[in-house]
Amino acid sequence: MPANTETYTSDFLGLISANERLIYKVCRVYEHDADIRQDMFQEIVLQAWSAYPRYRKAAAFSTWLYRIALNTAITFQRKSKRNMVTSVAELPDIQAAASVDTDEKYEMMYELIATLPAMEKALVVLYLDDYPYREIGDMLGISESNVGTKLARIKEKLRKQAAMLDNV
Amino acid sequence: MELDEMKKLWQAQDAKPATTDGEGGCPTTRSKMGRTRLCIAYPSEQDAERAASDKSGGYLATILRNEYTGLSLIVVLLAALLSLTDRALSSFTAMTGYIILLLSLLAKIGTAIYKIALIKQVDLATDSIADFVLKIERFHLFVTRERLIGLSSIPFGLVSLYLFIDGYQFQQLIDILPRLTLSIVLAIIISYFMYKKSYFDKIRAIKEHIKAVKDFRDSV
Repeated sequence: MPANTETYTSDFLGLISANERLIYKVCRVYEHDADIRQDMFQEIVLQAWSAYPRYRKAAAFSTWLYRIALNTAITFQRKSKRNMVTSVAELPDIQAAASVDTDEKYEMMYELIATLPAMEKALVVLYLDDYPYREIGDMLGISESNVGTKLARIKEKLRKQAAMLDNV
Repeated sequence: MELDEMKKLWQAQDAKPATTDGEGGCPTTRSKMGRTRLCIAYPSEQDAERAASDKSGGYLATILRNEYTGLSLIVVLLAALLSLTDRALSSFTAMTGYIILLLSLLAKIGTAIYKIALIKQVDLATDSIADFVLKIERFHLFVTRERLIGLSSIPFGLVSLYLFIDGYQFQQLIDILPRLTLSIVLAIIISYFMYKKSYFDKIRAIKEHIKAVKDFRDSV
């Protein structure tokens, strides 16, 4: 840690504050329970703080933070298996997208993503945040072309889940 | 809902004002399971500050600290055992118990060093997500197996300790050997089945997760 600890800490908190929505979104995708989500948020900030001395400004802070947030969330989620969902049929009853307001659409979006396995969730999150395929592949540890193939499969899977949701 | 529609919604979230408390301003909807909160609970800035000032270092640092504590304890036990080497030379049975205890402690030191090395390899800021998850899950798999073996071997360790401390004479040992062997084998089998359910389920779940991540990484 550098000599001016106060500035160093406030720099870090400033960066976290500027990117807090990123952390919230990752927590929301990986955890259904609001209380556990708060713990997950704390753990992600804690891990980011521990890794911050090794942060090199070559990469954008958000990209660096995404990797930490996703790695932490996946590990954290495994500890609370009760929140894992594999089908929309296990989720609360929400009306079809066409007839619900925007907030309900958000909820539906998160619930559809919740039906995916942990690694596919990470892929979807990065895609939704408009990361290029190359960066997504680099973060996930798969090839660029594989990102496209997997996204096509996920789209199909989500389409089926959404259809199930419409029929609930 | 299509993925592209989700993308628009996802990115529109950044334009929405954040709520600053758990419930305030958070709309709800009725569902089969009751009322469901729709928005993300936004922790306060103090939560981020508290997390940043936490000295524990989080999950990985805690694992590492626990492993170092465990290793220190084993080293102390090893030193205590080595200081009793003279006693081990008093009889064949004491020597047998001593050697078994010594090998067990050396094995524990070996596994502790291996676990520390596994955790030190992990870097959640630079590892790809697939690599990170695989490393962490392999660590958990190793720890779970180690616990299962360790707990199942407790009767064996207790008998070794008894032999070492009490120092049976060889003839006495021959007399009780069939009973002793039978009780150790039974105790190991019983404890194995006692822990089987919880640990084997956990091992199966970890293996499934490892397989899912490997499939994700390797399948095209």
